[in-house]
Amino acid sequence: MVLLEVAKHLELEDTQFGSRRERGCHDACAVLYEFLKANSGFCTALLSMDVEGGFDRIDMDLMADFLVARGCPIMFVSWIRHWAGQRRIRFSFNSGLSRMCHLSKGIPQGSLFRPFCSVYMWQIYFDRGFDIHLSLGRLLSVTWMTVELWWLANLH
Amino acid sequence: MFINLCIINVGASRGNRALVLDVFSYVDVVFVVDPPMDVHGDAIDGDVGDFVFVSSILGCDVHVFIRRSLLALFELVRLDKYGLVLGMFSGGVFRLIGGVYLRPKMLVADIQVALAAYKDCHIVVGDMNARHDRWGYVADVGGHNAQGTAVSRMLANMDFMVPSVATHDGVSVIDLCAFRWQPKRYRLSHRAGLPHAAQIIKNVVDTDRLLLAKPAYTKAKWDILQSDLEAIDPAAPDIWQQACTIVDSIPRKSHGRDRCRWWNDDLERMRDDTRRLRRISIKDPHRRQDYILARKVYRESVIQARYDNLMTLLATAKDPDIFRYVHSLDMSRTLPAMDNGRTWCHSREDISDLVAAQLDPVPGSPWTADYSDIWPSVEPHIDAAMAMSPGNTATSYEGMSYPFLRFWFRKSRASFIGCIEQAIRHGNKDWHQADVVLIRKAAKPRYDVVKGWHMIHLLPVMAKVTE
Repeated sequence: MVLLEVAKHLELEDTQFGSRRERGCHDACAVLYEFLKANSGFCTALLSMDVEGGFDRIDMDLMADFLVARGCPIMFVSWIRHWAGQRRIRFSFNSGLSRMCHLSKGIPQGSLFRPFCSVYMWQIYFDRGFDIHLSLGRLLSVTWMTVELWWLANLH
Repeated sequence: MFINLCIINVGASRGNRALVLDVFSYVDVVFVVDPPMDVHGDAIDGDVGDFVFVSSILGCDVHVFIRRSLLALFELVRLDKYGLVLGMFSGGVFRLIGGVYLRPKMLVADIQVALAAYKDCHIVVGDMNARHDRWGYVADVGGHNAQGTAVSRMLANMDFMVPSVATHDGVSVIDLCAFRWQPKRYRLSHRAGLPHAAQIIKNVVDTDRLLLAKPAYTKAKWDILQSDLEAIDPAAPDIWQQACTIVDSIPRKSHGRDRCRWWNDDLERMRDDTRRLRRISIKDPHRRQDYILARKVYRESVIQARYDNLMTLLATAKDPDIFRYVHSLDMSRTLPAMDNGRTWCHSREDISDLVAAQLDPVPGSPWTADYSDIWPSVEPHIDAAMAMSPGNTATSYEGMSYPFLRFWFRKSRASFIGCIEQAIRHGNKDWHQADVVLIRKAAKPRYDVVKGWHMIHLLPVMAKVTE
């Protein structure tokens, strides 16, 4: 319900596929193919980036700044910050529970906000209007990334 | 069904063991006393035919072999260096049969320790090297040896009876069978041509009662549940606590409790299908072949599951503490000792600290709710949110499920919305808590490091609907 309310104020672009309803891997491949077909004759490269444990360490102050920058109402930003904060978890393994552990960063794996944040954060990072160098620098300070670059000379 | 147990001393000979397993073709379980072992005390592989070797700790003086097709009927209860205890259902009661080997000239204190471990057994068999005229020892001088006196006292204290039949060269009873539960038949066989006679015990073995029992749960009384939910005041400040109290009162399926480790949902489904086919076949004889086939597949699956479980557990540990490990093992969901880069973490606290370190934990602080009180009503979105809720998922610590939420929503919409609006506007401390389960990542080279495991947060389902 909160997501439905927040989504009224934000827009996701058509090139965002991950963690969205009715937007699967095949749709992404089709768009990629169309893009390559339209740009045939140019050298082509594919950049693959994997953020390790990125959402376990999301700094909610940073996330709130991004949401405000995109025009999200302050009320919702404040609510999401409180929602993600003061988390307590117990680990369940080997037929038993561990002691309670308190967290101040990250979004729980299993929360509906998590895929939403992943889509939205990447959109912000690579949005043309945003300072890409600054945002990537801040991102790299809180996560580790695996980057792969593929030359796709004859993909199409 | 009737099964035959055989107990025989093979004098640490591999050939004698193979001979026994070959000669006693009608026997289903063989306790091999003084078995062949290598210099390290480990069992020696050999030709065991259709039998499965199910006991394995270093230096154990009794090995047990069970016919492969009957493995599901027995339970290996415990092992120590003197022997082992095998469990089985007979006449609806779980019976324990202990196999023990007391080497000659043992200290009395050691004998007492060894036999005390079998005080809960219904039958104790084995070679005790105990000579006593109470059970028919014929000697020139005296009527017993020191070991015989000690064993006699222990068995008398534990209220065991001992049949007096010669088992060694026709003059001495050193391979004792003491019982407090009369077997169907007890006899000796000298067919193996060994100095020791083979003791043969015939008895009835039943299928595990847990497999035959009805599911140990009762259905929820939905009419009472509905009246409880309708009684919640939508304006009350503690709607969530009231709902949790109602959830706690719902009877639960005892899934996993009292079940053996190899029992799983697939077997449960197969059992139910087989029973359904049986009912159908009674009404429609043309379906009888279907039922027979399903029953055969089900039985084979049970045997295979139990066999795989035993093999996996026993193959991983050859240690006197094997049963400590067995209790902590649970296949792919089990975390092994974890490598933190410098040393190994074995205890639950160390492993949980290591996993938690990946999430940058902080010291606990008092709960503060600083939510906005001007949040718009959730009424316009509630129907869409409930329609999009999944069929069912694992519950978190609070035990609330999606079906329960939908029931609550249908029967008491006002209190349901009131609970959500309270949490949105004032916060709910319980919704910030989660249980985290660890699941293996696919195709990782190492699972003894934290990065080989997914951390899945099981959040309260009502919090997810609210999100």
